[in-house]
Amino acid sequence: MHQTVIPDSQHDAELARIRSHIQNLRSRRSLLQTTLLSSPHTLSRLERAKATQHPPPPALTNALHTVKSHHRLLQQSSHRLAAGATAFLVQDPDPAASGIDSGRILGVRIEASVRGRFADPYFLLLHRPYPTSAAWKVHKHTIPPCIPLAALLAKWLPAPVEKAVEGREKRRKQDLGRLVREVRREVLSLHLRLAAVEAMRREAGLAPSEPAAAARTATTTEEEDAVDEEQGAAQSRLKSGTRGPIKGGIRDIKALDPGVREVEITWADGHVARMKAAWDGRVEGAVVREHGEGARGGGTEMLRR
Amino acid sequence: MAPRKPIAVPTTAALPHSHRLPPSSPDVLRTLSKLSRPTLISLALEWLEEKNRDFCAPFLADDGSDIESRDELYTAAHSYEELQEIYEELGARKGGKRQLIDRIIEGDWRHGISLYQLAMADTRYLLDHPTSLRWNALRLAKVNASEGASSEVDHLPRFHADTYLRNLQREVTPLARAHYYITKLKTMPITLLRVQIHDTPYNTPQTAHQHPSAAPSSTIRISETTTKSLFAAFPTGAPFIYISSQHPLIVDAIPKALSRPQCRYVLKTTSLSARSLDALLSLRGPGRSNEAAGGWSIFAENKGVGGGAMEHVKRPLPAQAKKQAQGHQQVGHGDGADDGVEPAETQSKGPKRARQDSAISPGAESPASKRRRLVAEGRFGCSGLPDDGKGIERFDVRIEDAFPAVPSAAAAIRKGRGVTGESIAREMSGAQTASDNDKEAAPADTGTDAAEWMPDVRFSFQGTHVFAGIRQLVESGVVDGERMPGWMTGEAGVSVGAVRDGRIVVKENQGF
Repeated sequence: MHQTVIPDSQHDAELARIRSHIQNLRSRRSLLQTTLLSSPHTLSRLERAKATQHPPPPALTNALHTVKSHHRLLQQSSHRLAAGATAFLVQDPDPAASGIDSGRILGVRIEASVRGRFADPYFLLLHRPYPTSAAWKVHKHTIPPCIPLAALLAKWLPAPVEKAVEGREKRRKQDLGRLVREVRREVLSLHLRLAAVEAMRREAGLAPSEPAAAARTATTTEEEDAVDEEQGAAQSRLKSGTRGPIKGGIRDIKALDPGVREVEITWADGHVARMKAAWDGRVEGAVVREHGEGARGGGTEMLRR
Repeated sequence: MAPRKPIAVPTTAALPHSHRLPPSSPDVLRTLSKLSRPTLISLALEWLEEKNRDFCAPFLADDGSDIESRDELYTAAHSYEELQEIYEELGARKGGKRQLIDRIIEGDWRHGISLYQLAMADTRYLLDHPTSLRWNALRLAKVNASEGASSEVDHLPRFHADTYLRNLQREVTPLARAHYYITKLKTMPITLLRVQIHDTPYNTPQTAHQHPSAAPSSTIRISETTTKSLFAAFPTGAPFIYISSQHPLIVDAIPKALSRPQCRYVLKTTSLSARSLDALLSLRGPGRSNEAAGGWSIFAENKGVGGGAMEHVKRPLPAQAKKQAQGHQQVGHGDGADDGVEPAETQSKGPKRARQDSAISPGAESPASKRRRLVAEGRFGCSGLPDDGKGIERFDVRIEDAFPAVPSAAAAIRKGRGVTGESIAREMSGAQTASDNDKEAAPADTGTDAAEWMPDVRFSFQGTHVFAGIRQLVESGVVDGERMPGWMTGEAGVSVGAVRDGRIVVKENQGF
């Protein structure tokens, strides 16, 4: 057998080479496929071919189907690129939902793009469960708890007031558009705060924080070309494991909560600063401690801006 | 250690970290013997780390005391470095756990194990055995926060470990003496609080009754007998708390310690308890998946409805399967379902499906089983996978819907009320569903009016990962994936619930 002849290391190297080759070919195939599918000529040619052949062969029908669905995807993507929020229709798979507006669910996809990069979209899934009115209600959503969705819902999507009590309470109208705008504003400001922390880390010469780095490597495997120069450099620095020169003696900068309302800076000499960020990224206040956590008093000074 | 003279000075301070329990204390033995040998070694090394030395000091020999310790089993080390080497060497070698524990409690920490060390050991056990405790997820809700006024700023309780601990001690200390240990987990976004309640000066008969194991038998001020410890986990950036046991003293104090003037919190149940912290973090955590469980998880994981906005390649979508399955299902019924009868109005599909199911072939995936797999994917999305570590061990449901009429009763109804053929058909199909459930259901009531008959039906699903189990049942064709009610997919995200109109009743003002 070959295994006895070829040493393991050589074997492994060969395997790795073949794997990377396969990977390259796959991405090339995917690129070519996308280029071909996206071309407007492909569609017109296929349609011309369909018009001339009666009946059209199944391969042609399949190809046409693929191209059309791809064009739909492209159209959807361009809508998503242009608009911050897009709507779509979902069917609730729960059989019990058939009593609620036939199980139809309005999905709202909220995009946040910061520094030329799209975050994973956030979703609001709404239905109309009220028997007497066509008012909306959030059925499911993927908005993290650091965004005050409950307060926004109370303001812009209040439950309809029943007829009997309507007179007493002031009737509030639902405004779905406004709600989506407000939620998007919150989402975007969250991502701006996240990006600000990353920018601070970059300026201090620190590697991107873990979640951001993970997201970045995940995207770069898919779209290698889209990485701009600066991030490419950071990427290579991250990959090679060497960090750039660390400026200002800063050892770490990190957000303390998922909502990035508090940011902590740790200096190498033991100073720790905590900043409270406002909704729009303003620094509301900061505390610097001389020693690490636990030590209290002593050189505590307040900075207010 | 030279124990302080037992002067009874009332103090409001918590038990200090460095307070040592005698090595013979059952607490010490119990806690240490639960740990595995590698954990014990790394724990001992952690005790010897510089930052922990204040509270975990080992017994070190003075230069003069050498002669004295000669005849002891374990010679006392002279420095931290020496001990660190010893334990590193022990870690490299094989050996028994028993000897190691003996070495710790009779040798290197012969003067006692501090409460801090004990807390570290207990926390280690929890991290090694993440499912060793059953957690209840509770919501921190503001008191008197009128809906509209619930502020958009500071809507989450602010949690600072130090401040919080001080407030908690102020709440608890008058009632019980306890030791508090708070630590931030590295592997999860959780701050873990461990409170160990020792017997108190207020050792009233009532408390003795509550803890029969803690009979007053000790002469030392801090009881040597078993104490009660509980964990509370605070997920970062989420208005929830997971509590491992419902000890009233502590559970009452937890929200109070978080409250500030003009901003009071109470704990509210969220009907979820599970052993896995991962499951709790996904359903009551800081992320996106809290309100998108079950089939909706495709949105939380961003696998549904296209990928990123800048992607030009279509990903394989689980959502397609969902829509497809749904498309078939929608054929069956019209819009006359406003009375919210139990699942399933796909009467036209019944016999056909039965034939498909009977044609199960082992080995290669038959079209029928592929279809079932896709249906399961549509219903469960990316949830309910056996190895996702987000299992719920127990899921209890009470059905509050009227019992679907059985065929014989349907005939009676037809005579009595003269309903249309269409609704009879629906009742018939409803009866099919009922017969599926009959195995587990135990009608307690024997009402006569078939339309109003509402027996007390309760389901209890138990296992290591209930929803993964149901998903597997769907995939193997035991449960009809299309007619299965939504609560069986876990989309309500609760472990206890009541079903009304085919859905788990969600409490209003949940606050999302």
